[in-house]
Amino acid sequence: MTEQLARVRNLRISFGGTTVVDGVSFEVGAGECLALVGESGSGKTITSRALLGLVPRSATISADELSVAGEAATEFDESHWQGIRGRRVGLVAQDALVSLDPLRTIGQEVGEVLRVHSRREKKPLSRQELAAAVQAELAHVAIPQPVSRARQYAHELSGGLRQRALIAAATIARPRLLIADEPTTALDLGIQAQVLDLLDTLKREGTGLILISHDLAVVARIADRVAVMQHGRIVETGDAASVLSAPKHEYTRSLLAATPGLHAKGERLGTLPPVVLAPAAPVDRSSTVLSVRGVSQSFRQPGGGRIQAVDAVSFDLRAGSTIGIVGESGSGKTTLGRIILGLQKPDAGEVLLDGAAWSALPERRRRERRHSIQAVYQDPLSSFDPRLTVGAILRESLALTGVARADLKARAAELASQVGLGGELLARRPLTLSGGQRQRVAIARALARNPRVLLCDEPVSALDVSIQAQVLDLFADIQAQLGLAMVFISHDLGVIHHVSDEVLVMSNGVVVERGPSGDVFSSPRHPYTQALLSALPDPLSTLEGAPS
Amino acid sequence: MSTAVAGTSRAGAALTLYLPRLVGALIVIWGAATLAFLVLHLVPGDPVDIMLGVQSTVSEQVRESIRDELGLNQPILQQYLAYLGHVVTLDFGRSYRLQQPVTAVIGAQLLPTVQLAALSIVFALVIALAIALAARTRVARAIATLIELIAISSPTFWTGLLLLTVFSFQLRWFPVSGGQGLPALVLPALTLALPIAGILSQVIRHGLDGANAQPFVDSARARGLTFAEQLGRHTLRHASPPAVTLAAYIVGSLLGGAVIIEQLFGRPGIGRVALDAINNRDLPVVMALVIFAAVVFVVINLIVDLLYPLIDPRLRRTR
Repeated sequence: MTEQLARVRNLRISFGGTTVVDGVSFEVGAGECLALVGESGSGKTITSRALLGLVPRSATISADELSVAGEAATEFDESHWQGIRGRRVGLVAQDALVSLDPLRTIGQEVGEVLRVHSRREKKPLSRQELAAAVQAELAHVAIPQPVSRARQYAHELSGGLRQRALIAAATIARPRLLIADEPTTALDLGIQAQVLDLLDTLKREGTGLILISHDLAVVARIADRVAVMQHGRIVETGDAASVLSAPKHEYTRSLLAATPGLHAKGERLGTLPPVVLAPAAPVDRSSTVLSVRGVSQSFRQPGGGRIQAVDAVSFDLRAGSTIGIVGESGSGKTTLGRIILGLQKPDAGEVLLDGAAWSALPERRRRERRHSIQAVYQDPLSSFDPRLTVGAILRESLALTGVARADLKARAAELASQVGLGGELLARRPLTLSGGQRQRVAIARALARNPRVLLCDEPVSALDVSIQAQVLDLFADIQAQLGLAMVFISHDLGVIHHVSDEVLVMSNGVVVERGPSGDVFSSPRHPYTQALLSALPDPLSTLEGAPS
Repeated sequence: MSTAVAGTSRAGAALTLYLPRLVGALIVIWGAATLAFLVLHLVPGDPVDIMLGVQSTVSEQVRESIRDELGLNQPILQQYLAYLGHVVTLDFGRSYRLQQPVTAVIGAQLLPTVQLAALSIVFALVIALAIALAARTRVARAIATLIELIAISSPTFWTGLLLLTVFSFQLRWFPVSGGQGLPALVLPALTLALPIAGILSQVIRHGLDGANAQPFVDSARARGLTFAEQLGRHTLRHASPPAVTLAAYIVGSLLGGAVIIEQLFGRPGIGRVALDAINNRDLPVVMALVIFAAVVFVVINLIVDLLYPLIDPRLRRTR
């Protein structure tokens, strides 16, 4: 029997009358990883905060047992908790850029736990001892050149190094229990794999790990046991292999079913019925709608010199088909999207729309055809006027398209129902909608203009997996019925694989690999694509090798 | 060797960073000097009439000799260039009324005002921090907001009289007036500090709220930091840039406030000099004070610009 680091029985947390955690029980031992999986609002984060005594003061918390590091935590006062936090239980938060103090050096941030606790324990460390400990810990999390890195600030480090530094800041005081709250969500795939490996190493060294994630693929990679949370309850728990390969609870099954990477293309991901749209006119699906011809774009770099953001990219896009553009952050995919939208004039090459000049036109002449290309972004909220209701947002777009005043209201309602929005939402403002509903409003607004091309830049990246599934299904329905051409930009290989007919893999502005979606994913030729795919945590492939 | 190279390139970078600001600062001072000159010479009417006042019965002969002495009979451009030359060499002429060099008049009165301003800033900071840090619960926050509002909206002459009545006339803790020693400085400085403290407290409180909502504060708490440690190591620093931005406003209110405070408490100082000079049409003194105020503002803004990158490393653009 391994040493118990935390044990929770019948934990309840409520805010006012709202119960957010409802009778949760689990335990974590040394060298073991428990994953709390669930979508936003499932109560997984606040459950983990209870082990740190960091539940907001406005909450009511009760438990039959809440023991941390072998002590009954229900009896702790604030100063006792301060001795536990960082020393016995560490926290690794999501985004190191904001979870490390931007005004302090990496060395100061990493050393802080040790500094504060050694002083509290009346054994203050000297400056030299502290610096040595920081360097040793930075080396432990595999940060190269720890001496010079310790003097840098979070914004000067790459995403991967930053996240490692955040982990070092949590592990330096050697807490036996580490809570990792979505530790890889903000990271590119390759870096995500490295950070998971690091967490796995810590686990093997004997740290107990509570991994909080919405991403089943991440969980499959290092978790020993999984607890699936929904509406504040653990609906299913068990060892990772059996929960992920043979889920018993319906919710776990729907979560797995909604993950795009595990599906045959063209299969529906969500459980909602297809929407029904009214095509304006039959579309000739053999016609080329969008042509990108040798487009290049470079930018002046802040430090001097120029960076080639997009380098001689070409492709043709037919009506009713989707091209997926995939790459890590900084690969140039968003710049390419801006050029296609005509928001940015390329240095070289041109974009043709329906066989006629597009990117080369002056904006004045482009305007009358702007409606032909519509865009859907990751964060639709920032593209809405917050004072307008959903109905007003849609009517504005419809009026631009030339719908008669008298028909606006009826058309807006029709459009909303076509994208699966209830009529009661028309009177609401975007701020009060959920992420999935907002994205549907953005899609409805785009459709209001009768576009020929829909450009989607990370449209599902901020959504929970079940909502993502619904929105991806909606895109598929729209395309099947209206014959839209789609440019789909994403860093998520599973999503790209699911939606695309043809795939462009971009790295440093260059298309390193292209081809039909199936070929690129089943037999990648370029080393970069191979590396991307090998970093992809595939639950099923991981589980096949796992001992059962 | 490599450090030497890095050193010179860093110095070069600092020069390219700060040279434009230095040039800009000089242009502002030149603009203030020019404006003072224009106001005196381009408004309708004879400068000598303005100096002597409408009711004066000085003979035309005397007026002419004043014009000669001040060079008012020369072409305007020549007067302007001569004036600029004097400004550069800090020669502001003689006060009509006191018959002393202007620099001597201002120099003699500078120290009491600097003392007043310095103690006011200390008071304002202490009071603002006390209010901002005390406002942690909802009730305390409501009280803090009220205190801030009263402090900001009370006119200084009224607060000054109130403080005088309570602490000087009734409690007799502090002298009623005069410029001697620290006890005489306390009430004037407090009066001057209160409205500044109100604004500063609002800004610091707002900054702390913003900082406390940041994820890195969660990280800090999860490391076991006490509230005081969070303040000292993280959040206060994040709250300080907006407060630093207010420095120009604060200096402005110190200069303007000094005029009232020094009158009210019968203290010597620049404010008193300014008031006397304006009342008596002592134009050389007034013009020197205009330029003095411009220099103070420019210097404060330069210091603020230099402080930002010290507080926030993301603003350091030395590469």
